Amino acid sequence: MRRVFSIITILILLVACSPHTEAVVVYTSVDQVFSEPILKRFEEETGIKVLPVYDVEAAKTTGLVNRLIAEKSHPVADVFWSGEFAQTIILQEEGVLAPYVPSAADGIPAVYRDIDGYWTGFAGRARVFLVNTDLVSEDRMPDSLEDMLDPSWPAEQIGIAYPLFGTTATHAAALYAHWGASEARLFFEKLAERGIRVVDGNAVVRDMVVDGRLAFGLTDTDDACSAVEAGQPVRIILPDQGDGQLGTLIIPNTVALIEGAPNPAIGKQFIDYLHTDAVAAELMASGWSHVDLHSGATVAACLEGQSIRGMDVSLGSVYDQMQLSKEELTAIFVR
Amino acid sequence: MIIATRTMVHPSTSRLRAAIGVCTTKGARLAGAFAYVLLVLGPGLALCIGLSRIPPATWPDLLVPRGRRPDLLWRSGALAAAVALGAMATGSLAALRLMQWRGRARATLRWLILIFLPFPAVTHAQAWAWLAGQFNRLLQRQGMIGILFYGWGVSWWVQMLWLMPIAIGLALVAFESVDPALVEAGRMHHAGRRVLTHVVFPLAMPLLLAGAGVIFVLSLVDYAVPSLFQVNVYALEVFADFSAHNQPGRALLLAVPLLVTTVAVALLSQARLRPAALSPSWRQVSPVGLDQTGWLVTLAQGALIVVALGMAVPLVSLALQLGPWSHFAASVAAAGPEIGYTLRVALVTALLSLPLAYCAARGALQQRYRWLWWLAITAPLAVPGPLIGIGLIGIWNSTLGHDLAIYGSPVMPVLASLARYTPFGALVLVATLRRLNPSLLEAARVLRPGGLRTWLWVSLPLHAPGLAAAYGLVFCLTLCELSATLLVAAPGQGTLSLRIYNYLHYGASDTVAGLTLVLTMLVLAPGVVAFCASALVFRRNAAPRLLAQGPSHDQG
Repeated sequence: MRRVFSIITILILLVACSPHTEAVVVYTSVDQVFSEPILKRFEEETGIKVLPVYDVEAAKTTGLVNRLIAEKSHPVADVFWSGEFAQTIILQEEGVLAPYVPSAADGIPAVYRDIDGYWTGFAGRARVFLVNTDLVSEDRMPDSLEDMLDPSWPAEQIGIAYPLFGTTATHAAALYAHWGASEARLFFEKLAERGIRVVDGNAVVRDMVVDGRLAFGLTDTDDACSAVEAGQPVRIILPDQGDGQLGTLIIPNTVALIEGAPNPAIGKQFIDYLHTDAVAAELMASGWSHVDLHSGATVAACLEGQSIRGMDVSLGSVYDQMQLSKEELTAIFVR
Repeated sequence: MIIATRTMVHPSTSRLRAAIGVCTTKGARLAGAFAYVLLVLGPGLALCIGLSRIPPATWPDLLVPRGRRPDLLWRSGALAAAVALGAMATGSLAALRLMQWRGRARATLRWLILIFLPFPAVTHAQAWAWLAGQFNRLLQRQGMIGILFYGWGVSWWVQMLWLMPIAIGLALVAFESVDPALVEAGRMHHAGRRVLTHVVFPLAMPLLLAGAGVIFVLSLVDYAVPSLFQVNVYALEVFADFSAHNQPGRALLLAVPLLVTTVAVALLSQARLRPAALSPSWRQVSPVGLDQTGWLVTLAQGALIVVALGMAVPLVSLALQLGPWSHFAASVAAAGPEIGYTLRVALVTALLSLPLAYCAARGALQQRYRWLWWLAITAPLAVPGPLIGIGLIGIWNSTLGHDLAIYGSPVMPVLASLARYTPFGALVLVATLRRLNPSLLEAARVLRPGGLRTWLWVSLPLHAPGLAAAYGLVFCLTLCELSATLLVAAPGQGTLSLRIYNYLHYGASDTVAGLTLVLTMLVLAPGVVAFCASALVFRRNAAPRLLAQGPSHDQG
């Protein structure tokens, strides 16, 4: 038995060997391809090692947030950088976050900041239609969420991701907050009854529109812009931008300090770094962010400088609807 | 004669158990049981602590499927059963056809099928969706309506092809382990097809059923492929609830019906089968194969075509997306640390899983506590990956575990995969241990009681096919592990699987294609190691073969 234990110990050491240096641990749900260059730049400029943990869409938002909740008694992370806000507010409610207001947060509208300073928004994305231009002519472009209920569109040519996970769930909760629960539920019931394609994620919506399996679908600007920049036959439409229409949901990135973080000072330094103009410019240039939260203007080339009107809902009210909307939409779409 | 043969090869169950039991001491058995409970069952047990957060009044609603959930569970079970049946039937037929490949080189080539095992399910799904899209464009150019490529049938097809390498791999192990002497004896009296149906299949059945059980469970807990093709399954319901409430305890209670189904299927597939002791003459050329004519040959050729199609479509799809060589080289270089780390994790996990799986498998074949061991093997199979991750955090990041400094270290993904995949290895070993001829182990014990040399020269070669199959299965599954690793990976040390899925979302199809191909190459690593090790061991030792060529049939 001693021999077996010796072998096991050696094997564990083989896997475990790694150097220890001064570092900041960053958990991020932002795609690695966008966040990694920012983290590397921080390392180069400060000499502080960044140890990231990336989320993946396939985990269906059960990944890093649940990890942070489970680690609450002995935190490992210093900073949580999210690609949206609902998961961050969940962490705030669970007591995982510590208040910290970066100095550069003054210019950000109050709607994108927590009133108690537990998190701060920056670098916005938006919910958009991605339309296949081979299948949809210029005069038939959809311009409202209501178009998904229009019987002149074949239901199997319209797609959304499951409204139970990720930004689609957040968008659904925003509709619950804006329309009220009964009207929003009715809207989704009609979508389900029509039989529109409900697929595995926003990236799948993009791929299906690009392949021509969908005429159009609802997705995020980062997914949509990657298709445009790849030269695919697609066009991005910002829905509900007319007078009296509800606007579209703008989703800010959020960043927060972890309560009991092992390295809070470095964590704060990293949060400050994320709020610099250089990072904002780099995130826009890389295709992750497309909306300037200060002005509401779209700044990415794929959106051709269109201005954007966001939905008139507070992020807190959206969060308040999350659990109800997820429960009701699970009953509607998972059957 | 065939009836007589079947009678001959069934030794008394107690004798087999006794023969297997001589391999270890009581202390080692206890240590093994403790390690199994800590490393495999521990995460699930740790989750039970979280149940205290769930109001008792809601337990019945979560535990007992109500409303739309019974229907979901029934359809999920039906899909998993259809996938398991389809994959094992097709895989067994294809394996029989591959057994016709004679000679050392061609016999080795047939195992190349296993390099397709780590293709992520989503790669298969996207490849077939891409093919359907191309087909539809062709139809539309001809003014015809395209096909609708989603639904239960498509989900079944893609899941079946995704899991096909497991089916073929285990079928090959099953057929290659059938005693050649019994096959030859059967052939003296009956045509080949009858020998196949009355001798080969019954003797290979425990491992074939174990394979079906493994595939059933993998299909049952998978929601990725079904949700890509708009099929709702029970596993998605569990994840939707977990996402809405962020309470692992709730998700665990919701997963109990999956767990009950898994335990029931595993018990049905194995527990009622009588042992069939055989000499695993795996170093000899197996005579198992097909007659040159007959409907079975046609079926087997059809199965091989399905398998070839299932491998070719994702491979071609990846090759077309690969992009220029320089881009491929750059993406592989960028993923270098992840590739090395993933390989180390998979090699170590597969190695550490063997004593644990062996201990559990032996327990499942012993007289005392066997039902407890069956439960210990099958119950963890149905616990979703993220919950295993949460359970591991509960153990190793607790006040007690925190001082050990294991949490946050690169060891955690090893622990995650051990907890998830050791039971799969145990299932394979149960099936192969059933087939050991106790005469050989008893003879070895009489000639040289105990000792490393007996273990190395007699026990190890006899156990080798099962151990190799279990090792390969755990290794391949670990390479692709995602959901539990995501929760416990050390900061700054991701695995290749995490990187692939991250890029998959971004839509970097050329990078994803390149890294997926690298993943397939990694599968060859244990194969090369196993080949070298076996060559080294068997070149120096002829004893096992001499023993195996002796009175291999149990006369009792």
